[in-house]
Amino acid sequence: MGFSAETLNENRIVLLLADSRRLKLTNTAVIKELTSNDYSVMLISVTLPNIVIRRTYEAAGIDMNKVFVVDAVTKYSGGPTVPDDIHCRYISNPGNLTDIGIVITEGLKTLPGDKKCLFLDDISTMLLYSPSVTISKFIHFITNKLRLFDVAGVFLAVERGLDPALLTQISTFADLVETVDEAEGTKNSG
Amino acid sequence: MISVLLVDDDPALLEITRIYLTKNKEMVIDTAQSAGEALEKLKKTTYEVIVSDYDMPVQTGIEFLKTLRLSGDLTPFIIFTGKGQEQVAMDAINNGADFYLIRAGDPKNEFLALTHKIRKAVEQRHADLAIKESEERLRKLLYSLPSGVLVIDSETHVVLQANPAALLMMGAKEQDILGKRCFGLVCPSEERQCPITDLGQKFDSIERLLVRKDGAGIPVLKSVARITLGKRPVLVESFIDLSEQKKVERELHESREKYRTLVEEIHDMIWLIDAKGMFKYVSPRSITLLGYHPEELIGHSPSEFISFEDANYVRDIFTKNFEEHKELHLIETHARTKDGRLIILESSAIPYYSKNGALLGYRGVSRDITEIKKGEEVQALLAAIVTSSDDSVTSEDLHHIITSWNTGAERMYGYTREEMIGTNSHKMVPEEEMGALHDILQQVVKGEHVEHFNTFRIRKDGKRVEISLSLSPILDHRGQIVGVAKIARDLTKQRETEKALLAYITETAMRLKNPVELIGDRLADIRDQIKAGDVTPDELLLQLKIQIKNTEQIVSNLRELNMAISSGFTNIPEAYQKYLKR
Repeated sequence: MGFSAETLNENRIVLLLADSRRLKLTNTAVIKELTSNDYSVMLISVTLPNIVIRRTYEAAGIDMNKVFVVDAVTKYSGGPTVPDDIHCRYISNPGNLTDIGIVITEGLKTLPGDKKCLFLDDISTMLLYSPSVTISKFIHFITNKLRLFDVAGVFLAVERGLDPALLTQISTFADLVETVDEAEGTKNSG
Repeated sequence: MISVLLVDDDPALLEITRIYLTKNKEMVIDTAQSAGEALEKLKKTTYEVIVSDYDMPVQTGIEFLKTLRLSGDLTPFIIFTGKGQEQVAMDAINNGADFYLIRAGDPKNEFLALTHKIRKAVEQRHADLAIKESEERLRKLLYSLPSGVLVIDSETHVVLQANPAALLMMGAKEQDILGKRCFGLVCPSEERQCPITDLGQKFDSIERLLVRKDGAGIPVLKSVARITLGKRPVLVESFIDLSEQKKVERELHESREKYRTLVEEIHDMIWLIDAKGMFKYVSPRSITLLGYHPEELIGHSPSEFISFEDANYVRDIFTKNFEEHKELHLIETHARTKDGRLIILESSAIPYYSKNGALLGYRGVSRDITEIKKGEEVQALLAAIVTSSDDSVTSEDLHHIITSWNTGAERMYGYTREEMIGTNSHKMVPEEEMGALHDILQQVVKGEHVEHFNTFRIRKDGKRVEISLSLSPILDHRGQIVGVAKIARDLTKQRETEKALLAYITETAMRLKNPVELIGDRLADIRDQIKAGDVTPDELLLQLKIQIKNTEQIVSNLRELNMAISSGFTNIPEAYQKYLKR
């Protein structure tokens, strides 16, 4: 895994592009890198339920006290939720961007530590539930929030899964676009 | 009474002679006793006859005679003397004396002879004066005649006299003509071939050629009279110059020929109808126009050749205009040709009158405008198509000055027809398009085929509009390129459609194709978890439910896109719209 938490020192918001088959691995690797570098992470998950995230992260040795999950799929799929879980908030469905936005705004305030990062998993799956125009506006909204609260951000998306216009727009919101290479880890795209 | 001056130095003889001569009261006698006295009397009065003695002191009768004649006095002079010398008689006659009488016999006979000679001298004098006056009158007449007159000796053919008109016509002076033979000089005939004297022809107002001094011949109307002047037989040739008349005739002929050619060769049919409305003249163009020879039309009414629908109308117009002496102006009628075709004639006519102002009929011209009318109909149809077209249809000359501008162009560019006609079309062309347009226009002007192409124009409101433009040359009736026709189609809607379609396709890719791949990858991951025994049944179930939800969402997205497409495009067939909305 080539993503380095140090990247976020200069580039506070990074768009990370990965092959769809390596999304879960990339997800885990980035969270591990962030938490290992004392980042408190707010994970917006539209792909995996909280229960699978926890098992997967714990198996990877990630300190789950540093991870706050915003789970947008468990409720939607009728899965079990933990009512008083202080490390997780459940959203009704991945297309409910209003609620996700509210949770992000609240969560960024309460996220512990000095080093904070928001991780969005992933933009490509979000496009299943919202039009690209809406997604673009949402990303713009989040980046503004992150910059306001001086919180870093990593947005994961499937490589070649965004149309050129949307990719260009989101790239302008990010400070850095990195493509995760299967063999070499990551490489800077600009 | 004859006035006589008697001159004699012998007073007795003077008195005897006077008494004798006045005896019959036929003569009035004055007397002088010397030549000097006689000359003094002659200064104051004139006499019809002078009778003088020869032998007188101071001045003889011959010397007196000489003095008289030298002074120009031609009064008849009779020497009446007692000296019968032959030499004196010769001198007297030679110096102009009319008679010489000798007193040498019986005085009664002498005076009788003198009386007779006086009478004779007076008669001769009167005759000479009469001849002289006659000659003078003749000369004046000859000189005042506008026609040329030559008097030619009919035996020698020598020109005796030529009047100024003749000399003027011949471009000669008297010395060039008079005394010379007429052959080849004034007449083209050769010697012994004189039409009058040798061939016995009579010339009475016959056209002949008069040979001028410079050798040129001029046409003359010639008459020749054979008369005798004195005892000399002469030819009096009189001629009138026909050059001017011939010139006028030639010009008149040419003018008539031009008129005839004009009338007969002109593409239109010229006609004349009389007061009864019947053809009186029809030009030969009727053959090509109507198929009838002029003689088939003359005497017939034009209404016989006009379609029955128009016949009454034409008859009414003709009758009304005839009554009001009005012109017929551009009357359109359908005429039936001899072979049954219906053609459209356009006719105009003006009334013509007799010298006393009576209307005699109409002179007119008819032309076949069938093709023009057809052309006008086609043109009207094309104009209607152009006017109603949504496309911009414009034309301009070779200097890019706009000559036509339809409503489609008004809509597309925002400029009205009035704003654009007469202005340069390049004001709407963006600067970066000018080079390409120039090259394409060059191709069009050369007559080369040009495919339609996409370009931009600047509307009146300053906005750019993308158009598909096709250019075609405009040819005049000689086939010369005189302008360019431009048909432009607004690509704005097409571009919007293309953009929308691209957006739909992209959206479809992002929200359908990519998620399907993601679901496939997630299922593969779940399979790996199962293989590794790394998943509980609840987790497995939840993950599968998530992928089912994702799949349901894909179907929902597909329906949503179908709805958007079927609602956004009006030209999708109904059956397909139903299918897409299903």
